Amino acid sequence: MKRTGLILVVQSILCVLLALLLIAAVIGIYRDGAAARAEDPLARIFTPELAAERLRPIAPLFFAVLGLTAVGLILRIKDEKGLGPVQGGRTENSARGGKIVRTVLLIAAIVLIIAGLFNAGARDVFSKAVRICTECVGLG
Amino acid sequence: MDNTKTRQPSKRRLIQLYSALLYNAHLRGFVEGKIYQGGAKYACVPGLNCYSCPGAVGACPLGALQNALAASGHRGGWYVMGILLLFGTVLGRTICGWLCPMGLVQELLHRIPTFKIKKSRVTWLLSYLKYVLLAVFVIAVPLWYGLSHHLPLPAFCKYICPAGTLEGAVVLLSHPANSGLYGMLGMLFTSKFVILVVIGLACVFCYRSFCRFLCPLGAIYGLFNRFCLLGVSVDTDKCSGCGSCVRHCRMDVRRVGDRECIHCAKCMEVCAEKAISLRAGKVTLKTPEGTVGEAERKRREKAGRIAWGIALALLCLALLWFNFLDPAL
Repeated sequence: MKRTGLILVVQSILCVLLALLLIAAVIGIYRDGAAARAEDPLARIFTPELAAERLRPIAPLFFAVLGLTAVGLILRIKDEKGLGPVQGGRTENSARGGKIVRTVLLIAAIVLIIAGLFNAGARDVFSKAVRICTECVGLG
Repeated sequence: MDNTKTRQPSKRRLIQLYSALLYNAHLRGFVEGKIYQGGAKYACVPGLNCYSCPGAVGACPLGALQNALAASGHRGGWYVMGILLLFGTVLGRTICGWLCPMGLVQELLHRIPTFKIKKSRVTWLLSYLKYVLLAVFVIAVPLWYGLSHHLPLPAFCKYICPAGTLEGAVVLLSHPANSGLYGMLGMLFTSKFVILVVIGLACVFCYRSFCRFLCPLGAIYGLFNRFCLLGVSVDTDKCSGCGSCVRHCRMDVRRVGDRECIHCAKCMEVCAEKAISLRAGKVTLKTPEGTVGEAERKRREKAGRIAWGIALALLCLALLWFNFLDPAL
């Protein structure tokens, strides 16, 4: 098998494997943590020690992916077929336009922003943004 | 110009890196494990950048929209709607192609040398999924929950958004000062982490998978693509309809500048008729090579150098302000 194809195959497999192991690790942490919590309601499901213990074995694979990526980038290895153009079809490109629509939308935007400043909408944005969004980071 | 031959990052890549750094200029947040709480967070950044990222200096437009909708019962979300309208009308999905940190992350993941999945009818159909996510998770659920329970539920942020998991959770939890947050992790974090890994893997094999199929912000901005001030433009007098632009484009476009176009201007390089350019209204920002005279080329280069100088000065000022000078620190 040519070098290019071999690296592409190996890297593809490594990426999928890394993803699967990461998923398995986090699910495993949750499962063990939930079991511990079932015995002791005050127990944490996730702990830094448990996370490190589960992720440490995956670290060599992660670095292997990084290393192979570096090799691939230096040797300019890429899937030429996958990155090439698709087949078939003509297109009728139309000119972009709507100057009047754009002007109206811009005016509407400015009016809405000013209205929002007066009705404390901006303050709502601020008060949410300066606190850690527990929903966003997955804390619930 | 094919920058892969010179190994230099393209201007678009540099602008992506610049905007990612500007949005996250609060670098001491990464060192201290704390988020920025200064006045700049009254403003939303154009791209998808979680406001719980320790470096984030602005609010996330998508998170702000969901919270505004949740608060609709007692206050109209005019401010956030106005901001989205402004960004969409001026920039459209140029934001996705040039100014979004998540877009940058996806493109970098796609650089990993693996087999790649080309666009097809399946991916074109999947591109409609982001409108479903917009309608359900960004609009309907927060609105319904806010009106019925009087509590905010940013459903997209809570259940799906990979930016929150990557920029917020992973970065915050990596810092020893936040080890107390581990006690709050449970099923929600587990599912979000799995979603992040799956999206990351998809991006390795399929160009901008999150952007094309899942991002509600891209869905919103795509609605403005036809009218936005800045973006790729086709000279219909020169266009022969050969379709080379669409065939080479990695997004699920049907024509240049439609709702899926991120205005990356890569189609400019493959157009044999040199009919495509990047424009800001009547001002031409970028044209195919060989279409302008030497004098015009030099004038544009000079303008470009001035613009970069101003941008770098702004970045230095931002780094100084958000890390040392801001009274909120």
